[in-house]
Amino acid sequence: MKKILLFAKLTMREAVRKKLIWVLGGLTLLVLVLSAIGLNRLVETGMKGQSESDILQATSFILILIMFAYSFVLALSAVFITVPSIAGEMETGTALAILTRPVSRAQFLLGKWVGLVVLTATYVTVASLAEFVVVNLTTGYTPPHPLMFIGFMVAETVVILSLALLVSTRMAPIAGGVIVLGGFMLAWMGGVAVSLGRQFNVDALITGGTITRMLLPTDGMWKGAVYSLEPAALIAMARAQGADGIGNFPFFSLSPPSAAYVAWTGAWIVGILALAIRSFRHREI
Amino acid sequence: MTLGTSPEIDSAIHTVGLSKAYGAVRAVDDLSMTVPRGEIFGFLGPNGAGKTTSVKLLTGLSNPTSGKAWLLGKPVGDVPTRGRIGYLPELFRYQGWMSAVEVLRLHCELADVPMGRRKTEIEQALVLVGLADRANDKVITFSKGMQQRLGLGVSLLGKPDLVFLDEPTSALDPVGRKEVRDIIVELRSRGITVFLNSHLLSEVQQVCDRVAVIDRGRVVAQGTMAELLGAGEIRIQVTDLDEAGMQAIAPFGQAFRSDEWLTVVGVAPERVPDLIAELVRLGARVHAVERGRQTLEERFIQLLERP
Repeated sequence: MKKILLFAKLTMREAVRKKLIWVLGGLTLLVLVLSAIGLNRLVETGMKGQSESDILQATSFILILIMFAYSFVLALSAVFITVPSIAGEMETGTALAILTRPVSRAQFLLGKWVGLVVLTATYVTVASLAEFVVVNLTTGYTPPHPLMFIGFMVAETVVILSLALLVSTRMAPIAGGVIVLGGFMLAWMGGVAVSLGRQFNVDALITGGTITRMLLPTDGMWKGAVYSLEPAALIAMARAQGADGIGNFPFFSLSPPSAAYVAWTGAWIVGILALAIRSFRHREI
Repeated sequence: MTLGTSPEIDSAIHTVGLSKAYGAVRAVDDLSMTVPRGEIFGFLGPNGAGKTTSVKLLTGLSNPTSGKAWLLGKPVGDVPTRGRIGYLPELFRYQGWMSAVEVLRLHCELADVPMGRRKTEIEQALVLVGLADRANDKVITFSKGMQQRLGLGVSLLGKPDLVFLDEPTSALDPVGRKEVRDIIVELRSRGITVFLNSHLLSEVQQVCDRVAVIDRGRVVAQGTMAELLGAGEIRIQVTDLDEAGMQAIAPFGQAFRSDEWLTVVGVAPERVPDLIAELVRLGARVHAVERGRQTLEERFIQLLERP
């Protein structure tokens, strides 16, 4: 455990020293400021005089869009931080002096994973809370389940980060990054396919989409995050309009992921980590 | 009951039939060798002979296709034993975003160096490799030679019993090379076994007690430096020595003649004066006597000559 924490600390220190955190922080601040200005203008001028429920609807939708951008940037960052963490250290030779020490490869890998999870979870929490504060100050709106949102966003990032770590044990950084991002996009498309399938009653789309969502549960977690940002009134209105399929588009979700799906996601993460350890143990250096 | 001894337990390194194949290519082929404790062992071979692969097999970075190896009496891969081993890789890279002290501190933690000893060990390592004045500078600002020095310092943390140095002077200038040679000799005086992988034959000849020469994955010669370089060979410039005289000196060793030069192989050093006295007694005139020792380079090239 001591060695796992040592590698976790090392991973976090590296991210801080390499100024990655600061760049991400700077970009986040920019988004916060821009969204503050944008929302303020919307409420003060664009939608002035409109009903409160219209403003609420617009605000919640804009918040979802902003958070979608966050989730995308987060996935990109997770991939580009994680993939070089193993593959890069093997390529440059930094890992040689480390792995001949009295540490197991599992400790090295798990340490990196813990460090990356703590880093991204911290970022998600701080950035999301800051955005919620901005939205609240400018429009008076607070999303219904902010903590649940953070939980799903963290889960989505951990899923992609674990996959990136697995790929990193075998592939060169750039190739690995492309594969994981490709998978992330496919899973997102899978979510869209399920929605379209439901709307137009196409079983093949539903089946294909569902398989993708099982293979890579990023989009499933994103749907949970979206759901936690939707005001109850909005969901009730959508249900009243009989929306089923359309309500499941990338930026809207009528229901949170089932407990079984969340449990599957947890098992998926554990399984991928076990595979990564196995793969790394057998890796010739 | 008596305690038995075996090369697996007693040696610093012992390998039996160690092999590594990458598809059809046998990078290391049936490597069997024994490195006694407390010696400097030179591991030589041309480019692509399998030297670095052998080191990776021994340090557990790579798994053998077949064969076995023991380090300090324990099978390769034994995690606690790794705490007693230092390693300077051929491809030496350390975290560029850290300072030299931070890299050393990290490796102290990795090597389980007790907290109370860390500061002293780090300071000693920095002084030993000549980086004391750059201790707090980022590694990224270091030249290649300085990074290699840092790597040597890293490999010596935790007072290892066995140190693998893979081309430890490849990035150093002649002064740096001399310093590293001195460090290696000092390590031996502390009882540390050094496994030195090197191209620089003169360097190996100067410091090593024992060598193995590897070519295309196979050991083509191994032994003490004296054994490998034909110790006991003596060259004598002599005239007035007839055939009977040649036969009379046969008990001293195998004798060959080429014009005025007589080469006798297998003479024990303490018998050289007796040999000269015998030649004089036989009526031969001795003009010069010299040890006919090959350089390691000559021997190396001879060993690698392909039919």
